[in-house]
Order: sequence, then C-alpha cells, then structure tokens
Amino acid sequence: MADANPPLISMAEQFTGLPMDDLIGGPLNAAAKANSMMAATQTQFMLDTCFNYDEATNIYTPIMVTMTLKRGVLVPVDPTVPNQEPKIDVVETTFEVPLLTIIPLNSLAVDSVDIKFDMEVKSSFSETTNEKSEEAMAAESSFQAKIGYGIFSATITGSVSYDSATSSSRDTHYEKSNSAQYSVAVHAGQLPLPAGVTTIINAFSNAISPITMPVLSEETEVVTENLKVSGAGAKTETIEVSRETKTIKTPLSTGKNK
Amino acid sequence: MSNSSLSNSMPCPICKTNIPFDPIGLIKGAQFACPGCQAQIGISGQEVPRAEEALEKLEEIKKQKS
Repeated sequence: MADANPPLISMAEQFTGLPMDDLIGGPLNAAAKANSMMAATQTQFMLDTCFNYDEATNIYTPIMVTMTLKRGVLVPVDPTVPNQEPKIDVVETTFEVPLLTIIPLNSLAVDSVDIKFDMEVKSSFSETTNEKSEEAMAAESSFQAKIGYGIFSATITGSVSYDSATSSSRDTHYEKSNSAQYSVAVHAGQLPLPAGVTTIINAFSNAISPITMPVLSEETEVVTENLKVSGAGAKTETIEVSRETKTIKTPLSTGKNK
Repeated sequence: MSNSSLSNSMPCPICKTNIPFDPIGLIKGAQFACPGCQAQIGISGQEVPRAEEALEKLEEIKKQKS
C-alpha cells in the first residue's frame, strides 16, 4: 500500500521552467509583424490612392481635395436708405487640402493585444484497493449398506453433506489534488502615425495659409570677388582674381496674412 | 451629427476655435459648424466621391488584414 500522505508536486517549481519569453513575446512579435505588414500596405495605399505618380519625373504629387468654408457676412446697410433690415450673406470660401490629410490612416494599426495564458497544474494521488476473498466448499456423500442376518436383513441408506463459504472484502479509496492558474495580460496601445507622415501632413497644413509675396523694388548691386589659387604642394603658381557685379532686387517686406 | 461621435477637432480657419468633427462623416460629405463663429466647413460636394472611394479602399485593406 502506498504512503498515506504522499507529497504533492510544488506549484512554483512547475512555473519555473516555463518559456515565458516565448509565451509573451511570441504573440507580441506576431502583432509587431502584423503592424509592419500593415504599415507597408498603408504606405502602398497612400502612394496609390492619395498621390498621382508621374513616371517621367518619378515625382508623386498629392491629390488635393477641395474644402468649402461657409460663413455669414453682415452686409453693411445703405445709410441713404431708411428702415433697412440688416442682411447677412453666406460667403463660401474654397481651399484645397491633400486627400492624405483627411483619411484616417492610423486606424490601421493594431490597437490592442491581449494575451491570456492559463496554466493548470494538477497534482493528484489516488489509491484504490479492493481485496476480495471467497471460499466455498461443498461436500456430499451418500452411502447404502445392506446387512443380513438369518431371515433378517436391513438396508441402511444415508447421506452426509457439508457446505461452507467465507467471503471478505476491503475497499480503500484515497485521492488528493492540487491546482494553480497563472495568467498574463499584455496590452499594446495604438501606434501613432509615423513621424514622416505627420511632418508631411503638417507641411501641407501650413501651406494652406496664404502668404504675401515679397515686394521687389529696391535694386542692389552685389559685387562678388573670386580668388582662385592654383599650384602644387606649397608652391603657388597662379593667383587669379575676378570680380563679378550684378544687380538684384531685394524684398521690402515679407510675412503671412493675418 | 451628434457631438458624442466627434472625437477629432481642427482649428477654425477664421476664429481658431476648435471645430469638433468626425473624419468618416467629413469624408462622406457632412458639414461641421464652428462653435465660435458658426462657420461651416466640409468637403466640396464634387470631391465627396473621390474621398469616399479612398475610404472604401482603406476599409477594404482593413478587412483583408483583420
């Protein structure tokens, strides 16, 4: 018969040898690969859908979308006409933005990765003993005898039987179990747009605002002197001095419209 | 459009007040009003099909990847 209290395995020892790096890192790596593939797809989508490609110059030109801005403008009343009601006209202004800037591209990224790893270690011990003993014995005999003496005779018949049975049974059941669960949850947030794409969008956004072209009126004479020295090693052979004079117009003022 | 779905905002070109807007609604042609000056901004009507086509392509890619 086994030990009445056999030792159960240690739960901590069971978790010690687990490849946690693979268990946690594997799904995260898969998510990263998926993100990478989606980024490539996203880039291709941007180039195909949001840009026009000129094969001759190898230049991608952004596809522009016209936006409208409607606002009410109070029309000044004619002071010479009495009892005039104020009038508000709707003025529509149009401007263009790149299609790239209004497509929600960053929603392509994997925004959530949940890894739940449940491990159950079950240590159990069970013992069942069943003993059964049965004994049966049966015996039977019969006899017949005849005896005679003179004119007398007698017949004797008889039988003897014996039956015996012994039975014993023992049933023992012993069970012990232990279990543990280990759970890991990892969350990866939404990835922002790549810095380059954000820069492009910002550049386009800034380019929407109109600027004032510089006024060119003053003429300035610029003199450039070129000094050319030629020779070998430390020896100077020729020194050429040339002077170039040209007149350019310089801006009086530059700035953005307020 | 209800304000609950307007998670994005952009500065009003006129008064610089943030205009809450929904990118999908914007692409589908919805107009969004500035809470400051009541100016309305949106995609020009004739440009909506092109923007919607781009959005459909994007949704198609998302479906393929999911």
